[in-house]
Amino acid sequence: MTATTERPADSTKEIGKDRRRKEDQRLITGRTRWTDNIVLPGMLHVAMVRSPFAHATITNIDKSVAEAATNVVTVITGADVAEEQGGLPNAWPITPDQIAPVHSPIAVDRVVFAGEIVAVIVARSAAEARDAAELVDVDYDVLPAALDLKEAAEDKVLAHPDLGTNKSAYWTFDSAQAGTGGNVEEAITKARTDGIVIEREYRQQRLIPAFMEPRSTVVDPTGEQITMWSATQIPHILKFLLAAVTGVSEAKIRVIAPDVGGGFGGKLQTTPEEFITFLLARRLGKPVKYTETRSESLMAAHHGRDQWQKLTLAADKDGKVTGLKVDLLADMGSHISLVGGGVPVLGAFMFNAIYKFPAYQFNCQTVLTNKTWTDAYRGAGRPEATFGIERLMDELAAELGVDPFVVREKNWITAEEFPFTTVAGLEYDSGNYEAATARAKELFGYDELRAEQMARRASGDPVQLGIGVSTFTEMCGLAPSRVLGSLDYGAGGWEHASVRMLPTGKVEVLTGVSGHGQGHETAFSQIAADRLGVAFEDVEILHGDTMVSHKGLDTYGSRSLVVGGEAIVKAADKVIEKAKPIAAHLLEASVDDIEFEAGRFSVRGTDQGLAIAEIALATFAAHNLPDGVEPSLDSDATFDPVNFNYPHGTHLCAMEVDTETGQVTMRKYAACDDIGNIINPLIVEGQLHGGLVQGIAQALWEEAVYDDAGTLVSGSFVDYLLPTAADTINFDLDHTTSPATTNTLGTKGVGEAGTIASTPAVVNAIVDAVRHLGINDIQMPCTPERVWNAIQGVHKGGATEAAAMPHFDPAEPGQDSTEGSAQ
Amino acid sequence: MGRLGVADRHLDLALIIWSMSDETLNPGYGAGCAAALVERTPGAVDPGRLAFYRLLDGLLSTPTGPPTSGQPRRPTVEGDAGHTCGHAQTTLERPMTKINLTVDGAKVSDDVEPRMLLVQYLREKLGKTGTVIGCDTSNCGACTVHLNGTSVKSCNMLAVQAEGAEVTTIEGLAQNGTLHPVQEAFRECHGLQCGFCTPGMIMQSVDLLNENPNPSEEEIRLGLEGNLCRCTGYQNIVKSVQHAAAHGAGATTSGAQA
Ligand code: FES
Ligand code: FES
Repeated sequence: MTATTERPADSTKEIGKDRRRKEDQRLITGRTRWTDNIVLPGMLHVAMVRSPFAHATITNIDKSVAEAATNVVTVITGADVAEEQGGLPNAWPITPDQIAPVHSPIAVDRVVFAGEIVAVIVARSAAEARDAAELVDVDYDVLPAALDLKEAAEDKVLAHPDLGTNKSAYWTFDSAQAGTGGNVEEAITKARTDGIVIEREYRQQRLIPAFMEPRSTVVDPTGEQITMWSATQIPHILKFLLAAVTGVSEAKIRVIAPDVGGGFGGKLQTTPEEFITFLLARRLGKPVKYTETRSESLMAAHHGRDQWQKLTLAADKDGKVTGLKVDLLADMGSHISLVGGGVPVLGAFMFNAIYKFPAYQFNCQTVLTNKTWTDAYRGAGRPEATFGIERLMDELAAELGVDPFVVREKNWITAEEFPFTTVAGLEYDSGNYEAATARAKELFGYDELRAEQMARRASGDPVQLGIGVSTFTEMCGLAPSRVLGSLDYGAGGWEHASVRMLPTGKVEVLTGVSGHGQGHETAFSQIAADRLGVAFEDVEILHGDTMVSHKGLDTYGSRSLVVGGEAIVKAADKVIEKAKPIAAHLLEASVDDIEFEAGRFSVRGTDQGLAIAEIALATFAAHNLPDGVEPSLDSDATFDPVNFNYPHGTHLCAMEVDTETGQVTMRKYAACDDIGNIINPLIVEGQLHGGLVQGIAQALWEEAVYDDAGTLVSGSFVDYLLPTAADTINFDLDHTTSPATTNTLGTKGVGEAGTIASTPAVVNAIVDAVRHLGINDIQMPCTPERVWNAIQGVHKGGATEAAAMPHFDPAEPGQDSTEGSAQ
Repeated sequence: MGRLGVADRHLDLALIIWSMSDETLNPGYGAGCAAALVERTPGAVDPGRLAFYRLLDGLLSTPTGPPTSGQPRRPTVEGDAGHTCGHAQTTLERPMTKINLTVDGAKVSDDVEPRMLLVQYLREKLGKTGTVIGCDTSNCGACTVHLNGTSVKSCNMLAVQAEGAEVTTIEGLAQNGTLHPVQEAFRECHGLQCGFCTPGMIMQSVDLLNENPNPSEEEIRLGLEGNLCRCTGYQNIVKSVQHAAAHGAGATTSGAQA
């Protein structure tokens, strides 16, 4: 047994250790394999000609000059490939009658968003391809564009005139109908007479995932398998869909996601660029590469969020919620993308959050517009829902004139009530909101900050302090296949793993999830090391190549650990079961007397035993195995979760608002999350930090802005404001632990938690700082200008602008509703 | 917070324009860049690029003083004035320029198009793919390398401007298999996730510590402001730099820079 690391007898468990990451050595030395690094013999380069118009008919394309340019190989338009290019898939038709336009990789006769591909150049170098792209002459007849979501929902201008409507699908859930709760209209009617009704309209602005690695694709058709490298989160789904769309045998396609520089849902997509490069490589018989520029990425990679939320919360006079009604308008952009329609639907299960609402209704209209298509962005549907309900709970508290925790405590599921079936029909397995809240308040110094807030208010300090609360939960670990089936999703939600025991004692673990920064190689090594009793260093995690890890459903929805990790546990357990009869044979004992612990098979009651690596070598040699036993310990497992899991946490944010300038400054942010058992605390902390900043950025800075011609004006990093180190602060984080009951390790997802929780905490804090001035909402991103305008609007006593909601008197609890005002 | 933050990005843009220098932004590419582009190739303009050119136009028409810090100036180049606008010139012969420089301790020489960016030269000609490209407006810092011991955004200068220079990339930072203390600190403090921003972050952090071996948290945050990270939320990056400072990183020099 050469070169395997002995596991010291006294070593503690790997799980729970803050192991430094295995993947870092490569990444900190520049030994990386981003798709754009790949160079193949004879490789050709692709550049795209994109539409500058949001909606137009293509009347003519003159590509002759471009074709004649030196080193240009070919120029292709949509018309050239209309027959063979196929349409991009939508894997989640949310209703049977969903309307979805054909999504051609290259537009054929009409463009439907600014940035859509109209022609493709192939040249010998990337620079020459880009040069030639500017020589293609496209004539357009500009058409009116459907840009405003609310107007689009009224079909004033059609994004796709041939469809006759912009309304794609109407999806609805009603607790009375589903038998999970009461009638929401009755609850609202009752509250209007003798309770409280809070009605608000919130805007979820359009965001851009803005992963740091621009998307890139290389396709090599020169082997028996056509190989595609792509900066994707979903190599397995991509392989399947390439086959399904193009008719190429699935067995002739290999997809590799090499190092992938972030995704956040933005690379949960099958893209026009992937289909185009696949087509070109097949046509030309040569490898081709396409790497987008940042401007192209911001303009044409899918966007996220973009909803209007009309919310009605009914409560009794004491603040016990009696019903919640949600009416959403969700902007799908130009096309219904891979899971685009499903994103707001995921929110349907989360508006009721951690609360025991007796009645609930969710209605969602998805709408087509002439903007970039939308799809998943970190949290996908759940941040939107969490924002809506957590803002409303603060509004309810304000209406009652009580601390925001008072209404939450009155309505949340108590620790003793788990498992709890919610009004949306989900069964929350575990949680303890009281414990997480207590710890978060302690970390934050809640009472001290409240006291300071009071003091500043009393002294009329121009810089006011606000405290925002967000007690979130989320459903993650996508997903039980049966649930996905009931929601008309086109695939399952299982995950696959294989464990290969090598004769040298090393262990290869193949996983079907595909990491892009999450630290899978480290966390999964910890899991496998513990399960098999081998050294952390001896485990190698293989992923992201459909020929190596042949089966999987990839990475999104905080599923890698809770679904993928569990598949590894199950495969490892099978290895142990397969090894037992061999160990018994070699130790000349009965299988029933064989025990396995810490990597060693021993005969009960004796000191005889063999290490798992020794069994692996003996199995490889196969000289002396029991009759009828195959010479292999290798095992596969496919795990289909029985339930989602439900991380939760209490997040607290203190914001200082300069009432004279509108400047907002984050003073403190503390959170206590319960994500079940933790495999690697270092990785968890990193996931939370990154998630928090993305959520905070939605509250304060980021927005995809279009002008009235439908041009994305925030199409570069000059204008799309990703926060920098200078814009952010350090967070104070801690955990409580309620292990999940639906997986062996008791883990819950963490990838999206920070993003889901933080946005409402920040906005609640800002509103809290200026509520005494009569403000009860500020639209995101809460820029100094918006905050200042809100304050001015109130002070001037003039007309309420979109960003500033009308005042109500908190001294009169239970009085009539304040009308949601963001007209 | 009183920090410059996102609003300061425009300074970066001014830097690009300035670094392009007057020959680069000759008539047709300077003020009126966008209009020239549209006129030449109506309908086929990448809207993102168009927006960027418009921005250039806007900034060029307002007097923007060049920054006072020492920026590398491009050497005089025979023939075609290179330009980073990448404007179509496919029918023209592009004369090549010979450059000699030292990259990660090795002397290299190549004929390059005058318009080739330093980052493209590093990646495409030298295979130094550890240095990456994250944007097209000089905002992200992913491409940061050291030029004669000082950090520069290698997308923000031409390869020909590096004539005679010593360039250190992330690949040349570790010496004889020993990681630079800043590299070590990024691993120790989990200062990276996907790792795409990391080469630039590390190179910028090394530069920051060379200038200020004991920076405050505020100074670190401001010093890294030109480098974007979408994964980490910066907290552990700041911690990494603090860790490196505590372990004497500021006393070291980067890679090939003796
Ligand atoms: S690639 Fe150089 S700053 Fe973005
Ligand atoms: S680690 Fe992914 S962008 Fe910084």
